[in-house]
Order: sequence, then C-alpha cells, then structure tokens
Amino acid sequence: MKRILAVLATVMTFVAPLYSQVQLSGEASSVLLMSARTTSPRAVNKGNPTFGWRLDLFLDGKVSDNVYILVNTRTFEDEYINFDYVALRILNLANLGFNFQMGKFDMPFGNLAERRFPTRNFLYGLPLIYEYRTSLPNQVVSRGEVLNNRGRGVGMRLIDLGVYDIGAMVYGDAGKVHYAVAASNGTISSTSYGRPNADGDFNKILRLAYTPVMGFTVGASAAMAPYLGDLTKSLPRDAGSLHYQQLIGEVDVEFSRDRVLFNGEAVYSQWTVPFENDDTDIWALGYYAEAKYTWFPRFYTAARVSGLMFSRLDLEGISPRWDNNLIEIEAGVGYHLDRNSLVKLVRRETRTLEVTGPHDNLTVLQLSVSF
Amino acid sequence: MMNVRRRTMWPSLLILIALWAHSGSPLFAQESSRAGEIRGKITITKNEDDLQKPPTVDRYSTHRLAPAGPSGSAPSPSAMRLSEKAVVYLESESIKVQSFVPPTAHPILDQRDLTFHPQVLPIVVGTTVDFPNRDILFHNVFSYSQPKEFDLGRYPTGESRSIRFDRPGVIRVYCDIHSHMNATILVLENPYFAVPDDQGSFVIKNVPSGAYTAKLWYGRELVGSQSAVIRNGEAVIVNFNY
Repeated sequence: MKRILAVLATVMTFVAPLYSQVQLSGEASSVLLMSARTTSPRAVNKGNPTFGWRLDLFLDGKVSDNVYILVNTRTFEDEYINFDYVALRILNLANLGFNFQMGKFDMPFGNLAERRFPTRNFLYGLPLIYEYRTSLPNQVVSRGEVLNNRGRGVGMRLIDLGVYDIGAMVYGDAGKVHYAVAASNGTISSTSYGRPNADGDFNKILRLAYTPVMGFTVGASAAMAPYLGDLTKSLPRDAGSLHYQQLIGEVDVEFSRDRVLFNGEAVYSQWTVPFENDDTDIWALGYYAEAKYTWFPRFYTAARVSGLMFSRLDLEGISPRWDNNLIEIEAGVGYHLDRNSLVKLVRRETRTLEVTGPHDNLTVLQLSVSF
Repeated sequence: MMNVRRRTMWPSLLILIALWAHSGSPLFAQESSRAGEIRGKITITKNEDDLQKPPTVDRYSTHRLAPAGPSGSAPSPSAMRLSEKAVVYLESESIKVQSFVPPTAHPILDQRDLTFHPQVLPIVVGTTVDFPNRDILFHNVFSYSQPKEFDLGRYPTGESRSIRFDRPGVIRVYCDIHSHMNATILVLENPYFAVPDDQGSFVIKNVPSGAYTAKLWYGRELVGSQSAVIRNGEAVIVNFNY
C-alpha cells in the first residue's frame, strides 16, 4: 500500500501539473472467494475461503488537442503494482487521417476491451482463452514435459490476459470498418511484460472490425511471432529460435440492444514446437459466448460458456491431447447499489472433458466501486 | 327530515367552493385577477465546472469503431447554455396539497453529441418525458433515484423511450455507456416554475396570491432560495446571484 501511495503522490505532485488537462479515475474491488479443494490451477487458495482486493487507477494526460499520455496501474493484494498501460497517443497523425500509439498498452487482438475491469465484467473471471495456462511454456520442452504439465497451469495462455505488451500501433476508421496494425515485443500468448524483445523479431498484429448497424460489430484479428521468449534451454536443432512461430487468429462478435448484451469470441492458435526429435505443429482452439440481461433497474443476470480444445500429440503409439479439453460455465447476478457501486454473486463450474479430471468450482462475492 | 338537511347544506357547500377558489386552485388561478407573477434575473459569477465533462480519451476504442471524430478522441459535447441548466421554481405549503393537471405534451430530454440536453428539466408531477437518441451510437439512459428508478436499455438513433413521473423529487439521470453524461429531472408539485433565457431573465406567470419560497436550481444542485409574497396580482422581483 505504501508503494501505491508513493506512486500516486509522485504522479500527482510532479506529473499532473505539467499538463493542462489531467484526469485521475479508477476502480476498486473487494472479493470473497470460495473454491473447490482441488489441485487444479482453477482452484483458489487450495480451496480455503479467502478475501482479495484489486485497485485500478487511470491517469489521462492531455498534452495538446491531439496528443495524450495514458497510464493504467493494476494492483492486487500482493501489493505489486503492474503498469499495464503507459502509452503516448497521437490522434490524426500529421493530418494523415489515422492515429498512432506507442508504449505499453493492450494490443489490438480480440474484443475484451473494458470488460477486463470488475465494474464492466458482467461476471468475475475472464473467459478461459484469457485466463487458462496451457501445458506449453514459451521455452524449449520435450513431449513428455508438455504431457506431464497437462492441467497444471504452468504454460502460456491462448491470449495473455489483457494482452498488454510493449509496442506501437497505427489505427483508425474507414467508413464502418475499424482497422489496427501493431507490432510488439512479445506474442499474444506470452506478452513481454516489462522485458525487452527476446528474439529480435516483433509480433505482427492485424485487426479489422465491421459495424454494419449500431450495436452489432464483427471483428477478426490475426498475429504471428516467434514464441520462444525464454531461451535458457538450448534448441535441439540448429534452426534458430525465429523458426518457431505462433500463428493465432480470432473472430469475435458484439451485440447489444435494449437490455441484452452479448459477446462471443473464437480463437485458433498454432505453435511450431522444437521437440527432441522433430519440429511439430500443435494447436489449440478456444471459444466463449456470454450474455447479460437487465431485468429491472439495478439488477441483472449474466452467464458465460467458455471452452478449450487441444490437438493430439504422437507419443510412442498413443495420441493424447497435449492438454486437457475444458469447458467452463460461469453465471451470476449483479446489483447496482448506486451508480458507482456494483455487487456480484457468481458461481463458476469447470469440467475436464474426455479424461478424468478435477471438478472445479468457484463461488465469488464481489463488490466493485468506480470513482 | 331529509329536506331540512338538504336545505342547510347548500350555504356550506357554496362557502367551501369559494374558499377553494380563493386558495389558489389552478382552475380559478388562470383567470383570477389576483394571480401575479414573479420575475427576476439570475447572475452566475461562480466559476462553473463542466457539467458533462467527457473523459479525455477512450482507451479501448482501439478494438472497435470509434463513436465520433478521430478514433479515441474525446467526444465534443455541444455547449450548454444557461437556459439548459438553470430553473427557478416556487414552493408553498398552501399549494402543496393541490393536484395539477400535467401537460399532455411530452417534454424532451435529448441525447445529443454525447450530452443530455437540457442539463436540468423541470416538470410537474404526472408528466411523461421522452428520451430520444439523436447520436450515431447507443445510449443507455437510467436512474436509480428514489422517486422513479428506470433503465431504458440501449436503442439507436431516431428511437425514443418515454417515462411518466408520478412522484415529486429529484431524478438523477445517467448513461450506462458514457459515464460523463448526466442530467437532472426536477419533478415539481406545482406548475409555477420557469426556465431563464440565456441572459438569465425569467418570469413565472399566473401565480396565485400567497407566500412562496423561490428556489434556483443550477446544474446538479439547489444553489439559491428566497422568500416571495404575491398580493393582489402584483409582480414581484426576485433576483439570484450565484
């Protein structure tokens, strides 16, 4: 907490007065978590009930009519401050009709947007594609290691939380089409959080979104980059780390009308993995669909179905999946105590498919306040 | 026996009707020569906050079509004039118990340029307000104020929703999508209120004789209050400085 206050004091004392227009806002949330007693990474605190908190701060600095400095910090109960967003944004760069952003920010992949924050998330957690750690790490591993890691949550996610990465982006609108092109240090599955580019090749990202009518947007994103960010183990062959790429693509839809909000997303990712005897392409497919309905003022219900599927890996005559297929259902109710305060009660059930696995569940009571 | 009672009731009934008319019934007040008016001028000297100041920039507009202007730029709310954010209204114990017929026309609380227009909307109890969306994006108008909680959901350009307000009080109105948007609906117990012109001049006409408290609502709050007595249809001057 002292560190948070120190950062706040520093920002407000030295940085804020430098700008003619500075806005500080944020949100705080406190949570009670009770999960099943399993060894799964979906269990929280080994199944012992626990409290937690989270603080997000947003600082907008307007340098001139088209130049902005944007900062987000995110802090959990461990009191470690994450600088998710430290970016310089230039609108209508040199009157060319597009915008430019550089620094650390959320890469234009997927449509999670503001739903990453507790007051905008209908439920508690993020979809599996954003949260679940697969059995594939961003370093050299053997087939056996990957299979042993199944269900242990030690590898990369499909989409690394909010995809905050260090890079640059050009974006804009052309009629009803929105476009964004970006390059970053890390990959979509393994952002280079606070680190320089490990392999010398950037992650290349393209996103297009089309809004034919108000309230309905379809989008697609694609990215490719070398994914071996951790090269502490040497490669089994002399191909060079740049040869081992992640190719990832996604499609998404966003719909809202009256009291209904709907979001869906499907992601396909392929990695070329330097196993001990050969290079092997493995893939994972993830999806989710979520909806919220406001029954009457203050009160809503929401639900999400989220899943992951993995390809098979040849190993001595058998072909197990390289991680366990999962399906997760999260449902809950929310009640606005006032305009800025939201209390949610959420239940999450996670099941492993095809093989026997832990039956995970999580019950959450969360209070969120924006300011 | 019945005939005797009927005869003795008529004078009492006539006296009651006369008293009712004298007390300021709108039915009579509109035509009564005793109805006066309160006029005056509002002078705002206080440095005002931008009442619907938008966020500097939309961080996550990089994922979708920007609502207006260059992607991610701050929306540009249209200027708010004094006539859109100030209201003078009268309160009186003597007219509190009366019921007034609400207007059949529906006042409008506009959603335009990512801003509510007007900032303050005065209505009399029982009035229905229309909420048209004139922006090229969704709004979700709602209020959690006690006199009337509502949530209009999301609707596009050209569509409108309506709400009838049956209880007096202050209704704080917001947009669920654009957190900077806010407005106030003052649901008043009588029709004796006025919206000033942009120079601050106002007139409340056809006010029955009696003692009143004139109140100035400016922006989000009540900022002034003065006593005023109307006698024999005279005009009373009430000025506000804030």
